[in-house]
Amino acid sequence: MILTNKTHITLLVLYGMIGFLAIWGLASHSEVASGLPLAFWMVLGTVGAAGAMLEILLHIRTREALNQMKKQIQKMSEIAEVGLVMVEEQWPVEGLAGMLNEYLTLIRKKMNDLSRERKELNLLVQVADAEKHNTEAIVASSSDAVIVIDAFGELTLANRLAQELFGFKLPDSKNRPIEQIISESRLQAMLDTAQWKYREPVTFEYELKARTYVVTISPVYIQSDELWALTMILHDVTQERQLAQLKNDFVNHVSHELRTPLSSIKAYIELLVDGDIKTAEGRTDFYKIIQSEADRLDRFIENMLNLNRIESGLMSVEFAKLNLKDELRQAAALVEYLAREKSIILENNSFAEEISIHADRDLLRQVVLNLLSNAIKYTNPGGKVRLDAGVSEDRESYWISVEDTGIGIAADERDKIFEKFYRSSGGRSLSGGTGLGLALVKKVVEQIHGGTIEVQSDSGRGSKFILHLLVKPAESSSRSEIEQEAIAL
Amino acid sequence: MSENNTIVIADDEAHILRVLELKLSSAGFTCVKAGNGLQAWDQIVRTRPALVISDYQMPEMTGLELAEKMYQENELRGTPIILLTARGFSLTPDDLAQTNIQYRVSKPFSPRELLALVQEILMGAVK
Repeated sequence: MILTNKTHITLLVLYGMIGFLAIWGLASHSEVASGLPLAFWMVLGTVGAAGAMLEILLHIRTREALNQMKKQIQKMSEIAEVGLVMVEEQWPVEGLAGMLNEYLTLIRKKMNDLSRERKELNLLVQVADAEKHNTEAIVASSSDAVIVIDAFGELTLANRLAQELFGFKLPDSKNRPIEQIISESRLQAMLDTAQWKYREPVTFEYELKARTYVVTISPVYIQSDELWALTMILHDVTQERQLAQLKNDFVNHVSHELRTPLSSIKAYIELLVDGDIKTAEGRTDFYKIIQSEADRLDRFIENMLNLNRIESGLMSVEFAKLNLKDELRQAAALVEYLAREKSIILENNSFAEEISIHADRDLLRQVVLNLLSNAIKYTNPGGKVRLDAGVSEDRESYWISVEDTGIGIAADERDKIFEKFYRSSGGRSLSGGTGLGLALVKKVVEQIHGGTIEVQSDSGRGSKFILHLLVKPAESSSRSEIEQEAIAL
Repeated sequence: MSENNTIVIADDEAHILRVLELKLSSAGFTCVKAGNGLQAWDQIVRTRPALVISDYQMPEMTGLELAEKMYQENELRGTPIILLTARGFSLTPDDLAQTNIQYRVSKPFSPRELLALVQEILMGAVK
């Protein structure tokens, strides 16, 4: 029970008046003899005094209790915590403390709820922030150019590749309309269309700055129907396309080189089977052509396989001590019939001197065979092909040369003839060539044996290929170069 | 058969030229050989053949370029051409639009079937 100060004062005045009346009654009892007994005035005085004392006591206790409550609430306020109010003697403020505590309990519950919700929200913000950083990191590290545009068509995010590709800086361009950033009208049109037309990602090819890109524009929808953003990813497929083209070219070249001798073989056999060749001499001639074309096929396949082995680092090279004179004689013997067919004089001047060398026998023979068969093919009937060899004075290096009186090689084509499948304007690498012969010569001489190739030629005035080689090549270094090249490939 | 029985055969493979010459000559045709596109053009201009058989892949000038060059000349525009190509090699109708390439024969080819085709084209021309 809590009384207001005004009530306390009123009660005190009332008790004071009762006391005053009692004192007045006692003082005038004998004279007035009003008929009221003395005891009445004494009881009245006692009631007035007791009431006043009780009221004072009540007032003091109430103030004390309220002060306690006030201090506790101030304390709660200071530490921003809500607890219960505790008073030692509750009777003057019992109802108030109970109600206050009920209210404080409710506040504390609300505060706890709010605190928990705040923690959850903080956690969500942290998760969203982490996801945003993750997304930015993924976008930044992507090997594709990535651009993110919001639903208003303004730039939100772009990685370094996209900035370089379209020539802008993200900090300057963020939140700017995308048409101010990307000047490519077709890309703009696709982005515009994607905004209102497509619900699924749309993919198309796009040529930009001499490169080919596969562009994917994906609309990002939230809450089912609301367009939130558009992502545009530009994947550079230039190299893939070039590789596919190279592969296609390679297959076409190989197919052409296989098919050409095969065409001859098939046609000649058909003529023989049909009995079109009436004389035994003519038939023998045809058999020789078939044999020569079959050899050509074999040589092409051998060249291709060896080139592939060298380039992939899988070539098994076996250096052995060889007699150069014997090796060259055997190689020359293998192509003698080709020269004879075209009435070409094949001179072998390499017999003059015994030269002992270290080389891979099979590869060296293939090199000489390729040079000789090329020389014969590009020399007109009646011409001359000359094989020669010699050793340096210190006997540390030697040379092999193949010279012809054929169609020659133009100056600007002398390096290109060593490329695979290179077709010169004069037709070298066609007309019976395998298109791989000189490529293999270069690999075997330079990479396997550490030598060099010199070409002397004028268009229409013959050619001379000179190989410069070490008698004892550094076997290990040449191998490691091949392996490095294989890794690079 | 038409009075003009000259056929220009163009291929950078000497063996193929020899087979074609042998097969066509045995059937009564006069063959003029060319080892590349430019030589073929010279021979076509010189001999005005009834038919041209040309490889596609030749030095100096491809078979297609040769056919296009012929098409630009009024007097050569009507000369039929058989183009020898690698199997799987594709030419679009646009590629052939400015040529009189009537047939394409894939390598390896049968000289017997090629002769039959030549006879069919030239007999058809007579009719």
